[in-house]
Amino acid sequence: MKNQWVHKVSGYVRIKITGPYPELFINRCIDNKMYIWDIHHPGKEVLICSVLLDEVSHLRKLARASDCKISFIDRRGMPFFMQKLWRRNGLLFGAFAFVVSIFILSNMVWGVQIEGASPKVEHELRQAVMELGVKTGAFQFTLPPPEEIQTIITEEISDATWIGVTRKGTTYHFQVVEKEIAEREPREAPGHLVASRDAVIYDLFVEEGLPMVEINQVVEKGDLLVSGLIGEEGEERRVPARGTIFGEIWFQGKVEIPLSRTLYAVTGDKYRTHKLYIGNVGIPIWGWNPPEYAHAIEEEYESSWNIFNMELPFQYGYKEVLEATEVEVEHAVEQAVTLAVDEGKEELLSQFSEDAEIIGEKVLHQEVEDGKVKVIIHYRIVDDIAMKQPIIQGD
Amino acid sequence: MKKIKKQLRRWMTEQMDLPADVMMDLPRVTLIGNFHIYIENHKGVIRFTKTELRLRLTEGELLVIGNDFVIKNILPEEMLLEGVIEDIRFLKEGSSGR
Repeated sequence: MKNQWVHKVSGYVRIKITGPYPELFINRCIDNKMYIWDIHHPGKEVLICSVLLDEVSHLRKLARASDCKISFIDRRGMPFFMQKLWRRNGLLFGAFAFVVSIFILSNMVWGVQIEGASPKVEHELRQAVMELGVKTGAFQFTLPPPEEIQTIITEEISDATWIGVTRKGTTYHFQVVEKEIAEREPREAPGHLVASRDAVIYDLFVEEGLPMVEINQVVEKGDLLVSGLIGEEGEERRVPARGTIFGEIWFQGKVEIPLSRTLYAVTGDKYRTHKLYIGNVGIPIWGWNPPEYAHAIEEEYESSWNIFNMELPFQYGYKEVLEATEVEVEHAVEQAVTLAVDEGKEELLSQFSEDAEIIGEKVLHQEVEDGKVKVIIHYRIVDDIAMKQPIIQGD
Repeated sequence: MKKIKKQLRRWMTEQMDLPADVMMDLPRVTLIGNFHIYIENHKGVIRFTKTELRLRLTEGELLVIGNDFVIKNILPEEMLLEGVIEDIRFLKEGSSGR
């Protein structure tokens, strides 16, 4: 038995057989090795069946022999479909024209974008690119590949260090890096560097100026560190003194640390309530009876759903209630002291610049009182102590 | 002569354990549920309506009764009928069937 789809390719017709004895026609067909299928009996002395298109020519003879009349009801399969399609050839041509025009239009240059160029260079670049043929309306396949354009253009435009050429769809992007003559930093006003606080000089690095101090020298606030006057005596030049002067500063800190602390620890029991936010109003949608915990930690979450960078008016959120228990934490005295040292360190460093560093610490005194440890700690801190001071005329 | 030949065939089938439909030109009917019936070795359609199919066999006729009959395929020796099959009967030649 042939497969049904074979008929669909070669085409077939539905025929109606009318006669006193249509079964005879069917038998004749079979005897003549004709392939017929899907025989229906819609009424008395009528049969409807399918016949292959190639065998239609034999039908008349067989019908006459079996005293039946044949009428065609329906034509099906590829040949008829093609015929139908051809009758609507406007549609076919339209579809074809559409594909072709999309292909042509998507292979044209629709834009030239230049980034990072000054107006003068941009104009030059546009001109150069135009000569190469890169302009709106040009076909992309007539243009050299972007890499080639890049080498040609980079050579041609002397004011640019580098020009990056990329093609994104129908647009050519030119990224220009212009040659820049590095501008000199504006000269600062001449000045000295003085100490901003009492310290012992730890290290010094002078970029410009005449250092007036040595390592391990004790300086007071306001003392001259680096002089802005250089040259021989009597013929001094004024320069802005620059440099980093690290001074060691001593500092005493007092820290109190309680020996016992109450913490809340999560037991693992939790409950989640879900909400739907419309605007700023939260509507609970799930989780109606949260259990009551003696101590609880709450965590809230709200989604931020976006579409095209706009926040959607409805959002989902949930609140998690975590059961917690009180836990008393007892510190040993030594532990409390190290804790105090660290705490003091952090507190101290926040008062200094970012470069500040603690090079040493020492616990001077500790005592336990009222469940607290009182610690006095001595810190040695190194920080930049240089401060600018302009040279006053006639100084 | 014909009768002798037939008897010989029957005897051979019985003695040699050969399939009866091949040796004796008998119909082979395969039913799939009550909606597909596959008949081989038929000798032509006598009558086909929505509720009835009568086939000529080598000896006698085969009557299938049911509803919504459609002949899905028909070839010189075999056919496939689709519909709700209610009854299958073998008839002696010339009988009315009802």
